[in-house]
Amino acid sequence: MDSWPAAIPWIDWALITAVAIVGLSAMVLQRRGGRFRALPGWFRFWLQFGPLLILLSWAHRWISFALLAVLMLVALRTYFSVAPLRPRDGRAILAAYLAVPFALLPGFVGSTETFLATVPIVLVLLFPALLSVGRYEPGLLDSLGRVLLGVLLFDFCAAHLGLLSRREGLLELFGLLVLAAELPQRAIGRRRNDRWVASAIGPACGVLLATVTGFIAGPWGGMVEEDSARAGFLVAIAVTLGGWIVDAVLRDLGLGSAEVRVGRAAVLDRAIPAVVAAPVFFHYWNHFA
Amino acid sequence: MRRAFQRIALWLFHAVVVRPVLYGLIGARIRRRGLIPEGPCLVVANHNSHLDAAALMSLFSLRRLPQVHPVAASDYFSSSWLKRTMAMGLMNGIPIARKSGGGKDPLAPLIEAIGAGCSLILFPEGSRGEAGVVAPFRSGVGVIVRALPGLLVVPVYLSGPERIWPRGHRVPVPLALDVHVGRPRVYDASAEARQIAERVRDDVLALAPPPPPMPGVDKPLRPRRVIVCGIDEIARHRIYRTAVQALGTVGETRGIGKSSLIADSRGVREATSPQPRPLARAALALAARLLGVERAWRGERFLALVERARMAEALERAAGTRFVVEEGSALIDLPARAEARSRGLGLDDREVAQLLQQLIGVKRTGRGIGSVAFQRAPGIWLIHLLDLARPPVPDLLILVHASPGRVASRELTAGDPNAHDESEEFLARLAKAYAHVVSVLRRGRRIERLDLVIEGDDLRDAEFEVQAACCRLSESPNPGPQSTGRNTGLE
Repeated sequence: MDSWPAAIPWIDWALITAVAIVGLSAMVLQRRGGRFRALPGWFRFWLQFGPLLILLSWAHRWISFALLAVLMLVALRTYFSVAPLRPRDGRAILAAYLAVPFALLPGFVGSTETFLATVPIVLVLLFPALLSVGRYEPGLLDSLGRVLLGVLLFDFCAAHLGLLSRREGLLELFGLLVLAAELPQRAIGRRRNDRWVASAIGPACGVLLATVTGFIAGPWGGMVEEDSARAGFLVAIAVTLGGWIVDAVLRDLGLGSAEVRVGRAAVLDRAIPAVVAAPVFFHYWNHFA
Repeated sequence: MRRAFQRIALWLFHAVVVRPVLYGLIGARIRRRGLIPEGPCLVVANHNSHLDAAALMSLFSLRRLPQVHPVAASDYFSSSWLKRTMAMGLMNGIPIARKSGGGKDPLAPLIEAIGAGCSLILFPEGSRGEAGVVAPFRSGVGVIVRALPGLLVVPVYLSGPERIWPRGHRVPVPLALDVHVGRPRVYDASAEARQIAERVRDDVLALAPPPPPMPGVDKPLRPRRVIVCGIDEIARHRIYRTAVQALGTVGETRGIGKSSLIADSRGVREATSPQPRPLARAALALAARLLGVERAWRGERFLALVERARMAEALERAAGTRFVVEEGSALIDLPARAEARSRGLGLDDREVAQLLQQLIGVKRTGRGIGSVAFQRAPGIWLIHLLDLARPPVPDLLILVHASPGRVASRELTAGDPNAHDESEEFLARLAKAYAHVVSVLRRGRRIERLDLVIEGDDLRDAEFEVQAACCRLSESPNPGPQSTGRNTGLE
């Protein structure tokens, strides 16, 4: 029994510690009100997502990929519930659900090239075609945008988590970098219209913290310090862009801050920045690290 | 034996198929499930999909399922063996004829079942209607209520089945499903069956959340807002009426003031204000009295200010309303009064800004501001603490300037009993405080400001300026679609 802490890799400890720091920050800052009230919800998300990343990294492929598929389905269902389509677009939604196993399959068999060559093409061709056939109804472009965004985020981008799970420690490192990039943005603020200098402080701190975290934690995740620092930098940029996407999408859907704190829209607010950063981290690791 | 077999099949079907699909695949969320009574009751809901009965049966524990019967149309569900087995066997339905005939009362089996201690699930629309539309309820629900005085009726609104499995679609699509359970009610059994049905429908509709935006459908624009404020109450009221009238010629306008107004192309008319709940009002009045903020200023009751702020907030989502005009506003009046009351120790810009942020709901308890709000603006502190209202930020702010001496002498001449603390000195401070609060509110926000200087009783020039400003407001582009959240006016 006394050897179990040593059996857990450093990178897992680092992720667990980071989640604990987020929880502590959330508890302290939530009393200030305003945007800080969203922090406990974000912490609860990471309380589930952090262990999940560890599980995906450790567990057998059959288990980890099945779990990932369920999560992708839930995320897609949440997305399509928050961003409803026309009643006749049900087949496109079903196709998005059915695309989940196909998006994960190349990662499962370990063929990254197949994934990169086929999945985006199929997804980008299949869904516009599904939405275009049949009798004309107004709102086609709106539906197309909504479907493709959901498919892109929760089929294509999320499938990269499966590709990352093929090497131990990478998912935990990725989670750590996302947390480091997001924490300052959530605490300082992500974006304020007409105040660009103030808007830049949160992302800048996120970039800095993620880069430093990458430099320190990279070797625990199997990467060289310089490479993981650069990966942290890129992940922080992606997380910032993901945050902007979430803000814009939720605003377009007419969802205010109350809906983002609780309810289904909250899942998107918390998950999208991490999901958007997954391809960036994977491709940097695959091609440059 | 057959009964036992049916009971086991019912439990198995719901435990192994219905509930895993509902909770696992569809992610159903039930709000206020605890309101379902333990005894016999009549659950009434809107009907858009075959999923509805399954979703409503999941409100009950598995143990109670044999005593819960959805009411099924016999003409539809008896048409094939499969439908009959599903509806009557696995869903435990009671068949009824949708049309009376043969001298039999089609509702008699339902009344008997409730009398025997069972609970019923009824869809008074009679059939799965058009997706998202709640059709008028048939009077059958009223007949049952009349036959069983004291029967608990549970209104439920189902949101989502119309998108998951609408009428005419063969394959259900897993999407979110929300079941909104209302408080059980006993309806007056002496009323007409038709009236009871209408009341039940109103209760079901009251549970409906705002519909999600659909592609291809134009989103409603949020209304443009005007606030008229200043120390001269008479001038303020006239300017308020002028603004309502001017904007009413352009589009539907709601006026919120000492008199509520509605204006449109047909002219200006008085509107009735909703009456607040007496218990909540009494509790709030007590809290306001304890804090010494019962009277906000110039006889204006604190509660009236809060209610008007609530109305203004509610109009954010009112369909069809293009303009909202407020005669005074908690957003301006309360901080200005707080500053005027502090007798020379006025609030600085930062403190005013933080009080405004508290009112708007952006900041809950800024560093150090909690004590400032409590000591200098207890009204704002109370509004914020209890989350009573969030007065929206205006697009046009009309500030009425008047001579404090003239206003004070007019009040004293008129013998206003509330004028004892509205001396000329206080009114002068209040006028300055208005200007200060307005200038802080406008920082970083696109709020047009119109200053009107009133010197005599002739307000024609001021009214002309107001009409011109309203005209400019109506022609300026709308800032965008309304949000379902609160209009904070801040990013």
